[in-house]
Amino acid sequence: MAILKIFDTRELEEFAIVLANDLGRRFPPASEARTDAGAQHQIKVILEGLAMRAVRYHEQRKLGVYKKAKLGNAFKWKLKELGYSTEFAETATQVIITRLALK
Amino acid sequence: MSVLRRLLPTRLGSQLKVPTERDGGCQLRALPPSIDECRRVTADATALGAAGRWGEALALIVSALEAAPEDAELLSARARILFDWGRYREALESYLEAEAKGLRGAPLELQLGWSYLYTGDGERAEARMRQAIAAKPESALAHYGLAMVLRAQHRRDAAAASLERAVDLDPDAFDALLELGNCRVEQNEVLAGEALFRRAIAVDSERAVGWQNLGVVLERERRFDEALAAFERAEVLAAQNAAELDAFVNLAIELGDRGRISAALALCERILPQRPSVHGHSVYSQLLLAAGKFVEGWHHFEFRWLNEPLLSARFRFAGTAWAGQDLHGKTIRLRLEQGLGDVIQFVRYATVLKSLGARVQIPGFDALAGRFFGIDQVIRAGAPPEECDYHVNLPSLPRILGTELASIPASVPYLDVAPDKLAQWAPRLVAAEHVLKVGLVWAGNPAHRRDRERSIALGMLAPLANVSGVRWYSLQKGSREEDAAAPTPGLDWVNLGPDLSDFSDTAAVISLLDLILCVDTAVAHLAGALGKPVWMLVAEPADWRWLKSREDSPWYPTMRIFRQNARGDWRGVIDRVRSALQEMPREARRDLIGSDRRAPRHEQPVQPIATVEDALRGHKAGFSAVTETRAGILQYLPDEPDSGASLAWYGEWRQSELDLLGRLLRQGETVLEVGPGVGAQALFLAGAIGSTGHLILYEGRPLQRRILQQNLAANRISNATLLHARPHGASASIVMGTVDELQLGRLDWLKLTDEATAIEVLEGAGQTLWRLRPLWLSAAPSEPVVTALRDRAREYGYRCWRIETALFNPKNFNRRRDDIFPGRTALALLAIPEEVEVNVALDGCVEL
Repeated sequence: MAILKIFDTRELEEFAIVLANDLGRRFPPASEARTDAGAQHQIKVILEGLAMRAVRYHEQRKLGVYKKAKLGNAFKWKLKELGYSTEFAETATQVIITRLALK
Repeated sequence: MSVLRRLLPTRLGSQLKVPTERDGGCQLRALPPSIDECRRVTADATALGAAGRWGEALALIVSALEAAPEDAELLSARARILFDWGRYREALESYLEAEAKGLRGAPLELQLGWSYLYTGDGERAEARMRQAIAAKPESALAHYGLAMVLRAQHRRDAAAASLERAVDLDPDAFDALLELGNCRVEQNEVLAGEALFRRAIAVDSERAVGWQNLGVVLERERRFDEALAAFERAEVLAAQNAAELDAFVNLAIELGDRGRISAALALCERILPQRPSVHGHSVYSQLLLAAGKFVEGWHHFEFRWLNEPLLSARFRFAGTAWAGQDLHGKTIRLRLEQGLGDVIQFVRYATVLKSLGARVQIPGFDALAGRFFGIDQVIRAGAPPEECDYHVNLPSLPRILGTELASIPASVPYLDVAPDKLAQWAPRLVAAEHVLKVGLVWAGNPAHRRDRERSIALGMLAPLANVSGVRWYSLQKGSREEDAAAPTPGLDWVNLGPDLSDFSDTAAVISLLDLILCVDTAVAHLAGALGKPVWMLVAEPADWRWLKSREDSPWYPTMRIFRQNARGDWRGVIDRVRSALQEMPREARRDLIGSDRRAPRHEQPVQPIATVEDALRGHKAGFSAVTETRAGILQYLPDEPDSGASLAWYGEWRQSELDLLGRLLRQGETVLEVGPGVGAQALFLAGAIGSTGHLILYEGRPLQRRILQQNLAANRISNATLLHARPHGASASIVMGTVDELQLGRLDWLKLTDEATAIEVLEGAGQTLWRLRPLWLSAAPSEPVVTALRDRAREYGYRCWRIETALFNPKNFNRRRDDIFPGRTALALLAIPEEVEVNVALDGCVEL
């Protein structure tokens, strides 16, 4: 009986963490409380950028459904770890996943 | 062309809640401001704007507008700030927005009129000015505004009527008085013009322009001493007030006209390095040439193309301008300019070009065109454009070939006459033996700027009637031809003018005559080019090509020059001519009769431009120069490291980066170039984005900024805004704000051209980068700066590419094969927002 190889997702998780850290650096958790119009635009732009990076990562490595979900999950948990609210983390993750799903 | 596509944004707004008071959030959205608060903000902003602190003023207004976006007064205040800042296109949009929000009245119509005028929409400008007048007929400003619109449309008489109304309503309106004076002078009402200029000076005697215009009109009235005093006053005021006025130019002209060449040159050399002026450089070149300083004179003579009338006549030529490149086996087309006399004077260089191995083409300007030595092909009007390797403006040849006073190619004749023409005219030009046959031309083209001075009234020729042994022939053409039908008593001549159909006829007649006596017209040049004896009567001040004081001309060995001893004194000239004719020794007269003189043919050394140093011979440190480039004609600073030499030699600068931008830029985009310098790349950017695009230029260095302004005007760039900058104190430095202070509504590209300030500029552009997400290209002086720029770019969510391009482009505009920057390269960073999909090949770029 063949032994199923355990899928090594360390690189994938590291990539997701890099994305989350990047978000954390440019739009720290405290920025969630900002009410200026610039904040909305800024987070929109940042997430679009992160999504594009995820798409390029997928295009290079041909992520399947499982790996896409894994990437999203790692991203979300890292955001929570950084101090974002659950709602923010889920919404931001949804942006990434939705873009990946289109590819 | 491949394009960069922006992704549609994901919808986030509704999911990221803005905290409200109910949520216990930290801040409430502010309540809309009261009307009083809006007016206070408007007043504060207006005060800041009046002090030139436009960035701060705009920030106040924009902040207030966020809370009260419908307030028409705030919109109008924003428009006013933008207008004063020189951002006319944005000002117009803002004024229209204020109008849409209900603002009405004469002041708004007036500002809309000015905004339309400065954005090139004359029709709408006129409509708005008329509406302003309809709303407030007693407004002098409105009548003045309408007048300026009409002036821009060259409707001088209608403009004058509006100005009269403005002055009636406001007798102390300086600008209206001045402009009305200008109209009167153009209408040949010189005394009325003088009176108006004096009224303007009485209102404000500290404005240089009033004195300058007064000097011009006094000069026209031949009150030369008063004119000089007025020009001197204008220059003193212009220097004191750092005015944009080129007052020194008129003063230099007047000094030169008085024979004070050294003083005129000294004035130009003192001022031009600080205040480059296209008109000033042209005058400077003519002063140098008149003084026999040919090398320097030809160098600055190129500025003629930045002035009228050549500026309007200039057209883009799809080909390479010849600037000394190897001509063996190549075809070169001569481009003609100015008058027929200029063509005849400089077409002598055709033989020189042939000696360099070229096949020479010339447009068929006259039947004479093909008779000049060295011409291989005449291009007929209407014929399909012939292929040629190079083109060259005729009067630029002395510069390219290194002509000095002692090396003018003066072998004559350098054209011949068709035998059939000689046979046609010979029977009419038979005179008795020992009788001197003299051709006569006493007037030139009335449209010539100085025709009043150079032409002679027919009656003044009366003293010549008493000269014995002369048979006169009138060669007069044009509007004075009618005078020839009724010659001065005793000066019976054969009137040949009506039968001269073109210059080939004139050349044949000249060849058959013994002597030509004429004023400074094309006939003098033709006679000299044919090697015929020609006595030319020259008014003072003489044209630069006749130098000063000399009775001979290095251009035409068979020419003798009779000059006025005082301005306007033709009587003295005619008396000397009569004496010279009457007292001419018999032998000399016999020599003239039937002579076919040839000046010894000397092969003068030619030194075509072969190095960068040659290209800049005549250049003095600190002065600007002119060159043709791929994107247009450019005034530039040869002393600027690398860029100066590149423009002088290759006619381009960092072309590879421009090629990359050309693949990325789209029509209609908005580009901000910070530190454009003299505009070497701005000309390209303006063309790349088209008439619907908007190029915003932000240049803080006064010298570069002044030249940039002149380059934009010279190239008729209509889609560019050169931002005003506030002078800082009494020094020449200019305070520049940040990119963020501009509060731009749209920005597609940010170009940082001045590598010395790129990082600093980026520091002040953070909000703009987040808000508008422009792509940007930045020059970088070194690798550490590339790294620093990259790091900043990543902070704002940009992907970066490093670009390293050779300073030498093998496909350069001037087709130079040598690399004057052996192996050297230039660095730049291209940054694209990471959310933008890149689907164009970025050849030569390495992603970091």
